Amino acid sequence: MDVSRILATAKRQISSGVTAVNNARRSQPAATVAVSVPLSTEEQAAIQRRQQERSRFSDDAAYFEFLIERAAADDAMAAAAADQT
Amino acid sequence: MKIGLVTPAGPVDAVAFVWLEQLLASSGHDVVPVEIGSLNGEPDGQLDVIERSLSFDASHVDLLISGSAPGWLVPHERHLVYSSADSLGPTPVEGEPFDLDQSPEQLLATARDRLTHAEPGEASTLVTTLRHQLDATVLSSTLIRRVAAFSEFSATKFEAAGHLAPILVSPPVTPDPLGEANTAPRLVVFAESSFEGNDRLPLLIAAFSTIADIHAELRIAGAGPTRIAIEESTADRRVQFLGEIDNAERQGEFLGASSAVVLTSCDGWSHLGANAMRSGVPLVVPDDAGGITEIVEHGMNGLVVEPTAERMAWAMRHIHSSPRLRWQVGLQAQRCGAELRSTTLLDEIDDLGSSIERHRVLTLSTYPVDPMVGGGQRRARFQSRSMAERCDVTVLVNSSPSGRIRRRLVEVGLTQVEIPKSEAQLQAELDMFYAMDKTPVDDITAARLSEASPEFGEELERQLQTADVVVGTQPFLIPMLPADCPPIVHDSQNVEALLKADLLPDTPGGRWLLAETVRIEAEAGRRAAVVTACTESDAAGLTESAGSTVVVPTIVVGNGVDAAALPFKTAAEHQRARLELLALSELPVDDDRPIGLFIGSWHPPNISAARLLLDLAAERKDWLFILAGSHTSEFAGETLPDNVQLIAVFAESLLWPLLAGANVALNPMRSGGGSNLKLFDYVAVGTPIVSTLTGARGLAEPARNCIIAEPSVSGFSDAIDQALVESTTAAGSQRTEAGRALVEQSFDWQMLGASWRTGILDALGITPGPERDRRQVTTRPVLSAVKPPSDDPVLAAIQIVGLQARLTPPSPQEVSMDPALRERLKQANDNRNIGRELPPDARFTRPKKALIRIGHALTNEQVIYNEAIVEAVEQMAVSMRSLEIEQRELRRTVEQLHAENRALQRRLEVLE
Repeated sequence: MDVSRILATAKRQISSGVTAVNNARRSQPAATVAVSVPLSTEEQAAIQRRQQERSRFSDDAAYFEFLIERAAADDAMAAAAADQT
Repeated sequence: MKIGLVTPAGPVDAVAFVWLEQLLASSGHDVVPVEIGSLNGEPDGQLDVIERSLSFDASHVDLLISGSAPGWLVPHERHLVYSSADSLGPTPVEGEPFDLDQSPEQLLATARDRLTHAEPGEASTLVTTLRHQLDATVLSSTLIRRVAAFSEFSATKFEAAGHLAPILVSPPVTPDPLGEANTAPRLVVFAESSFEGNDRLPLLIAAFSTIADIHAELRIAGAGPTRIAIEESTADRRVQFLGEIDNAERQGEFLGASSAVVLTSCDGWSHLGANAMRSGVPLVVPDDAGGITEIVEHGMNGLVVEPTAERMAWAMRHIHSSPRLRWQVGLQAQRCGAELRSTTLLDEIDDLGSSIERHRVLTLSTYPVDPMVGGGQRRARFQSRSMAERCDVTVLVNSSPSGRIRRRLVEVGLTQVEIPKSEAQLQAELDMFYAMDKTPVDDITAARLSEASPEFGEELERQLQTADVVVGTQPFLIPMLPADCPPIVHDSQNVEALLKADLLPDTPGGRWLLAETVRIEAEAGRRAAVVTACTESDAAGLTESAGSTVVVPTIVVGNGVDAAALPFKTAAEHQRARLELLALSELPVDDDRPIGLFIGSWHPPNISAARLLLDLAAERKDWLFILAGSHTSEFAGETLPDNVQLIAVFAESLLWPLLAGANVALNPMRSGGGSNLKLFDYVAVGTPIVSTLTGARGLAEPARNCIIAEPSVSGFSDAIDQALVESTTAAGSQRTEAGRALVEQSFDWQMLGASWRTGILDALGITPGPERDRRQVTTRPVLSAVKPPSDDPVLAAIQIVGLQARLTPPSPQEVSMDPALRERLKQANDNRNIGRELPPDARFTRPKKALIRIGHALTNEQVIYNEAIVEAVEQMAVSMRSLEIEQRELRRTVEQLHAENRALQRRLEVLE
């Protein structure tokens, strides 16, 4: 057996490997598929909460003032709760 | 300087101090070992050591450095604790506490008295109680000038022990240079164990036994009490126990390994991990390893896994399966490792020793100055660095990515303190973000919402007590300053009122936010003693918006570039960086299309520019377009042309390869204020530029440094071709070299920063201290010397065999092989487009960053690993290997037949 025949055998085997790879690529194209992640229950609840809170105000300006005041109050409450524990 | 080193307890600290001693000695310091004794003995003996430490006279040294008890008990005026904090045990204090207000003599007398009357078994608790109390007292007192922690993990331990302000400095690194790891074709896993039964060695061996199908080797260094038992119980012959190894052998192990595994848990630092990364060896780290996990980013520069046999086996299998993954992770690890330097620590030691009193500058910022991600951050960082050359600068940031208070010595003289926002503030910011259709407005509301995060206000109050000057980076936190605070510098980066007017919609919410911006900016202008601006027009706009009749000194310093960190690329570096850019962008590395690059943060003018490039890409399929930076998040849900790649957020260390790898840098800006920061980066590296005139603002002669194009698809389409052709000519070289010279002369931050600092200090009449003598880091950016893998699966299989051929001595048959074929085998690399997989349940110690791809590409959260392909290629590799062996045997047979034939011929000739 000469070298060219060995290389021919190698080529055949590689070709079958390439076919295997291509088949694998076709059957499982995970490498190019983006997975969309559904919203978690918490995220859905947050969206709902935001919509409800926003609907209580005539415009975003009033809503923002409310958010700032509430944040300060929330933090004060959290600090008081932490002090108690 | 004469420096006393007290050798600390614990293996991590002890090794760090050996390296520190070498570094200090090589820096010209006179290093004196200070012997105190250890706290390992009997209670009586421990009391003796404590007594000796508390009364030890170390006045013969200028600076004392310790890393654990009892060393840190030694009184010294200049005492630096540099430590992993591993010796601070978690043991709670159970015994009756001591009164530490008494003198050391009285305290020890009390302790001895109690020890004499102690019941059997109580003695140990008593001494432990004393030790814990002494640790807490000493570490929280002013007796120690600095507590420098190796990692955040260590800092947390110090905080728990009572020290309020430990800072992070450079973690310890070996002073010896490390070589670059070979990409071993088969899996060679290296680990080190103390064989004391307290690490994850049995877990690793168990994990390794589950990947018995892989041609692999596990090499474990170290010796200890459990070694014989573990060795005897390990049936797997692929596991090698190396025993104790010296530094040279360790380095050899690193360079031959394809992966290293950290076995320890909850350590302040891992020398094995850090050195593996510096050598470019992909690291597998349990997620509870401690300090080292802070620099390992899963899937990016290492693998962070849960400490279970299953996950560790997963990590090893993946590193084995994909040479591409190994290449990517190894390169990024090497980049990250190259940033681990001792320069900041050595500078800090010099600084502590010199005891020069400097003015204190407090900088308020809504973003950290380190790491630098956006243009504004870069500006603030270089300004702060320059100020820190003459003053002590503290940058106080109203956010913290780690979610905890973090103090870090960014470089000598420059400390960054990050204070996390409260849940209430974050919630309000998020609600506004969604109300404004996902436009971030947290800077505008920073001052008003800070009421919801009192920790920031408290820290601000503390810092103001010692500050001589307050710099407001952007105006947004200036309203928080009290009326009686030191002189204020309003360091503007834009005229915010104008910028936000462009950015915010004309809705009630948008108008409210704009009104807030105008109010804040006007207040900053009125209260400022000095205003600094990027351009003359910004300065004029700020004066107008302040509406004040008082003339405030205004200093205009344009934007620049860190010329030292962005060296001019060579042709060879361009080629290597280009391959890296393709590979890191998950593009085939044999794609020979020219690359056009655009970098920009999330900023409407950048998004508008990128849109033009997307249109251009749709027409010019003969080019590749890489868009990098946070602006790309805008296109997350869109279908983009297939010759466009997005890199959403990239690490600082990737900036230079991005710039150097591109064929042409693109800057199709249609609007924008200030001067264009990224343009100077392009110019510094020497990448040919195609820009609009708006994009080239800040350059005196734009046409000299860029090819100027109209902001249209056709304009850019012609210009990119022109730039590419020109880049191969002498005219192109002249243009880029002239650009580099211009940057060095006029736009280097080193110079611009000094001008900013001098302007401020002069205007305030402050005489700065002497200049700090910083150690310069002059290394060029790290580029892989190994060709990245291509996409062709045939080449991939050849590569595996090829690497084996490269790394194993060639057989006589191989020597006689066709040189071209042999070279091909040597050069070939695995080329499959296999990305990184993230286990769905992976836990992280901090937010991930860097190279998160989005849009039609993939993000780190998504599985981008195709196991079937890997297996197919693995099988091919195996068959190639067996073919190779078969080929050798056949050649041998052929040669034998030839020899026999020749012998027969000769016999025939003789007979004839």
